[in-house]
Amino acid sequence: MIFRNSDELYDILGTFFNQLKFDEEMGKQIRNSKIIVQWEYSDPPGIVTIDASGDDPDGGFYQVILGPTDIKPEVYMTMKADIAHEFWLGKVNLLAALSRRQIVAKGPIPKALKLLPAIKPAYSRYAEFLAERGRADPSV
Amino acid sequence: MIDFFQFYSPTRIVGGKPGLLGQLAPELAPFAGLRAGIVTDPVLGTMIYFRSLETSLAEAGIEVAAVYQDVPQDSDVDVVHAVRDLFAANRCDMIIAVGGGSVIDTAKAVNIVMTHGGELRDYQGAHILTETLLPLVVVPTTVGTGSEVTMVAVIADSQDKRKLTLLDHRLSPTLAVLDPQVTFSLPPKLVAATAMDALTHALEAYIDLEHSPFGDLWAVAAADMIRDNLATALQPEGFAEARTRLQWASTMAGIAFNHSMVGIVHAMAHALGAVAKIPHGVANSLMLTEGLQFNSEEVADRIADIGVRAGFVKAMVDTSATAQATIAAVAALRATACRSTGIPETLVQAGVRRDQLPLLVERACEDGSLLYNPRQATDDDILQMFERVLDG
Ligand SMILES: NC(=O)c1ccc[n+]([C@@H]2O[C@H](COP(=O)([O-])OP(=O)(O)OC[C@H]3O[C@@H](n4cnc5c(N)ncnc54)[C@H](O)[C@@H]3O)[C@@H](O)[C@H]2O)c1
Ligand SMILES: [Fe+2]
Repeated sequence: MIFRNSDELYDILGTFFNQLKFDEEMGKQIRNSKIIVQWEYSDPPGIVTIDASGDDPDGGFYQVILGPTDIKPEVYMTMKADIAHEFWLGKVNLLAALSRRQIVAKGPIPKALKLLPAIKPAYSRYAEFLAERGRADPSV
Repeated sequence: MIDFFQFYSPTRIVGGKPGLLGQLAPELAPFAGLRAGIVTDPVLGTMIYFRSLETSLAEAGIEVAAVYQDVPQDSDVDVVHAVRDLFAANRCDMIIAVGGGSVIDTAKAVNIVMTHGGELRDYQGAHILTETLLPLVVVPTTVGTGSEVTMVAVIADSQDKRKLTLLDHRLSPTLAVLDPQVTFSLPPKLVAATAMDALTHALEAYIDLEHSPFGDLWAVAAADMIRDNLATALQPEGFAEARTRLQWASTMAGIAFNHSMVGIVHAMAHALGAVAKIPHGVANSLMLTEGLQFNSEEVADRIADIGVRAGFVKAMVDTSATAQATIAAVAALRATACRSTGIPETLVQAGVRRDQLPLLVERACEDGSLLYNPRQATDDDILQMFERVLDG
């Protein structure tokens, strides 16, 4: 397991998403889609919701909610936390992952997948973010 | 290197001489004792082969508990729920679909809500079904969609004017019955349009991002068979053998695209269906060569490859010349089909207005098929393709 427990998952992925929501280029496109996506992770468990349907109290382009929430997502995905980690490193072939059920997606998937080109810069950003936190190779 | 591939085609396929539907008791025997709900449309329910199927069902000990005969073209959520109510009230525990893609997709969607409860909208997504579905026997009556062997169903949602895509291995029908006789009642226009849909499946499956050697075989065989038989199938007589082969080819193309999905041609065709109500096959026929031309910048090798393997062209030294020759050969085949049957060759002929272009572009851009397309398209690329086909 890449993340030893849920706290660590929220600490890494949560902090990363909360930084990313201020990114002009990616943020604007996500905001325009007005999408609400929720990821439910296992091993370790965790829930992250991204709500681009309205304003973010922190002034970002969308809201990041860590943990259970009443917000009803439009697109809901489940996966192992390790897969999420690899995804944000740009190492997951999403189409293959969906057909192998490594990622299970419910809802109008095309709407979420349409954002893939827009979020490409996030991959190198995640690697840098991990390095800054001294976790260049968190799989060790 | 290919990242990953799998090949999975669980549907039992049976075919044979015209009239197979009347002699189907052995293949229906595994379902003896079940109560069938039949889904069909107003045209097909009156056909003589529909009666033959009923005879076979009786012989196999299957009771027809309900028949829904009103599926419209491009069926929607309300129809699915109405069929579900009828079948549930009659305690149906197997489903039979006799019709084109509209009927088959309706039956697949009904199967979901009958076994999982709730509303169809809750089941959009990929591989999210959890329950075993009812046995589904499918008799495809067009030579197009391949839905008799795919894990996909597309149903319109009139409420938010969107199409729901349902994708799950469990949706693959249990049994597909290819009786050539059903193709004999198809008007030539429908033969041409639905065969162009099947050809588009084969070509897009072959050049898509997710192609694999296992899917390629089916795509090549299907494209070759359509190329070889389409013109004869459209003749006023002597078409029996050719239409039979188109029927096989459409199923084979279904197996192909069930593995690598479709691409930009379908993205534009789905938009034309949603915005301008253009029948699916006609819409693909309108956009096919544009889509191939667009993709030739990225995957000339794949286009050239299927062009040669499916007999459209002879291999040349230069790959892009071979690709261009393939596209020209596909365009010529399409022109023959259109001119001999009168199906439209421009968007205007098909009833599209220039002021619909922005909405067409918007819809095409949000279509899931684009994700599998080998070349990324901008809004402007798509607009240009529509514009080039607008008025000839
Ligand atoms: N699930 C999939 O894999 C898949 C793939 C491609 C398309 N589709 C869907 O399929 C639908 C289109 O299906 P289609 O092209 O088969 O057409 P269709 O089912 O809409 O039928 C078109 C018309 O043909 C008539 N017809 C059908 N068979 C006939 C016959 N043998 N003789 C006389 N008339 C006949 C029907 O009554 C209807 O009026 C679209 O909704 C499309 O989105 C699904
Ligand atoms: Fe199609």
